[in-house]
Amino acid sequence: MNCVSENSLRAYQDGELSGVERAEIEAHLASCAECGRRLGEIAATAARVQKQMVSLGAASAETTIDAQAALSRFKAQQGAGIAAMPSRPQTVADETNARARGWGKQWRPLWIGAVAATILLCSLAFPFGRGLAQRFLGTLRVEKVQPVRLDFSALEGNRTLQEMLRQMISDKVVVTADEKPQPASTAADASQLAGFSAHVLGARTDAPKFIVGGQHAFHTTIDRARLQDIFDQAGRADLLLPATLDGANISVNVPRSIMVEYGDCPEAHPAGGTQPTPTQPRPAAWANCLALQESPSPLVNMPSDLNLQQLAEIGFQLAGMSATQARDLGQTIDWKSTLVLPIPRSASSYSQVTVNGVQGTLIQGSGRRGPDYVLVWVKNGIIYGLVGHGDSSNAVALANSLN
Amino acid sequence: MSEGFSLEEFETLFLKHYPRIVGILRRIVGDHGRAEDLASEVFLKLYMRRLSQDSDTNVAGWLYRTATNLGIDALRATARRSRFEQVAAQNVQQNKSAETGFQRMARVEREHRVRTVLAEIKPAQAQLLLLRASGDSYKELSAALEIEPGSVGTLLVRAEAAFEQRYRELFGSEEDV
Repeated sequence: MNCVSENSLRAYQDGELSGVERAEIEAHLASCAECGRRLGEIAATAARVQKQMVSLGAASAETTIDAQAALSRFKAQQGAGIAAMPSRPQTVADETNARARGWGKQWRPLWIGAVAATILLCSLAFPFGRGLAQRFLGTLRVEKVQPVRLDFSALEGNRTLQEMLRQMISDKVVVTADEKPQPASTAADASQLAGFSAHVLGARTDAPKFIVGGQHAFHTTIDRARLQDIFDQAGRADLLLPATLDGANISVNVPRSIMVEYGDCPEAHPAGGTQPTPTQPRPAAWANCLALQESPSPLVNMPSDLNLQQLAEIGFQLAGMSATQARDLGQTIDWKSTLVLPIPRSASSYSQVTVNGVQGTLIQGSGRRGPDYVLVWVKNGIIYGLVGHGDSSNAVALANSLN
Repeated sequence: MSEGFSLEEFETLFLKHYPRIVGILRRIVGDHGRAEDLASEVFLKLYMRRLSQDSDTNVAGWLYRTATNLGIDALRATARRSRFEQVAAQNVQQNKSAETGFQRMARVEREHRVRTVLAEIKPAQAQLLLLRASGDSYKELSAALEIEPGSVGTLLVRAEAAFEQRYRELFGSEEDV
């Protein structure tokens, strides 16, 4: 027979060959000094590396691990998540994409910004967290919204960066609750399902549709090295994340929400074919479409010693601000209670308005592809978003008719 | 079972594979608590995926592939920290009373070197070496790492050569430990 391949010699060494194959090789080795020498080298290298690997610990130690106790702990820690299993595999990236579709293509940059900001927030959040929920010491709760013009355009065309972000979300984010939206026939039914009172717009007399958005929860472990690689890919190797973030955990829980939809609205998913391309005229009936989103504040758990301002300043710099601008803006925001609302570049303008006695933000789009305006405000722990097609001049009046 | 497995089936898988997965992860990251955290993450991912259970080998393969992926990710992140932090941490975590101070230092140093090299070679090669050292057969390695059964031997030889080369570049010969 010809000389034995490297693959067969190694398999022979490991006892992975059949009796026939083994006999053939042994017959060849008896007469081929070169193959005998190569087998000796392969065996010696394998033995040296195996010795090194064994130094990391013996497999026999596994017998002392109590799997039953671990399973009980696992079920106790993840109980809510296990009860809310999705019906198909889904990642946070899927969810983000679905939301981006729902808001219309025009608003996607907002979500790109939001994803980047979330990842950044995650990266900055946890100096030492290694366990699960019991390790978290502080909680963020949204009480107000701060619009900020952010320009992620430098990052949007970077496919490698986007793929790195997608892959990191896929690898690092563990979804523990992911409920599907479900329709409700009345405001009372929607309130019962969502666990808080649904409000409707008194200024609209037509009957709305109610959809209760599912609860979503996830946690993630910060991989600082990987985030730093992403910064490098974004051309911002100068932005350095604190070393203490590495291996830390962040948990986010988004409670059930209520969507109240009036009039004839485009389908949330353009795959259905109802979303017009930029060159197509929009159906006039959409001007009657109005959607009110009511969402309790998401809860973000993290250690109380987290320096959110430092994190945010890095985020702002990633979005194109100078270090000075980022510091000046960062100092004006109460990071424990403020949701930073990235204003998409496609928005033609935004303004601060008073809604139901609190400050709100009215963002106006170009209206070509997505909604014409979004009005966002926070009151009594609920984040409201009024999304309208058509004239925005009565947006505040509509929002004030909330009851 | 295209609908995925039931809670009972998940529990059976958990009980069957958890100890070995923690063992492998502990060897990778060098810390039992961290290994248990990572193992929980592996099983939560499994539960969320609802893999179709074509055969036990496929699920087991996915579990060990995911575990070693997560472990090596964690190792590569840790390897970027200062060596002092790591050695100090291991001294605290693995205080075996029977060892003398010198023996403990030598063991910690040896483990640190092996993990550093594993963090620096290609992740697929590190996975192969770790699973082989954990007792996987060629068939199991093929299923876990999605490689051709007929190329496991060659890939092992290459991975070992890469390990030794990187080790020598970083630390000189093994006898220096």
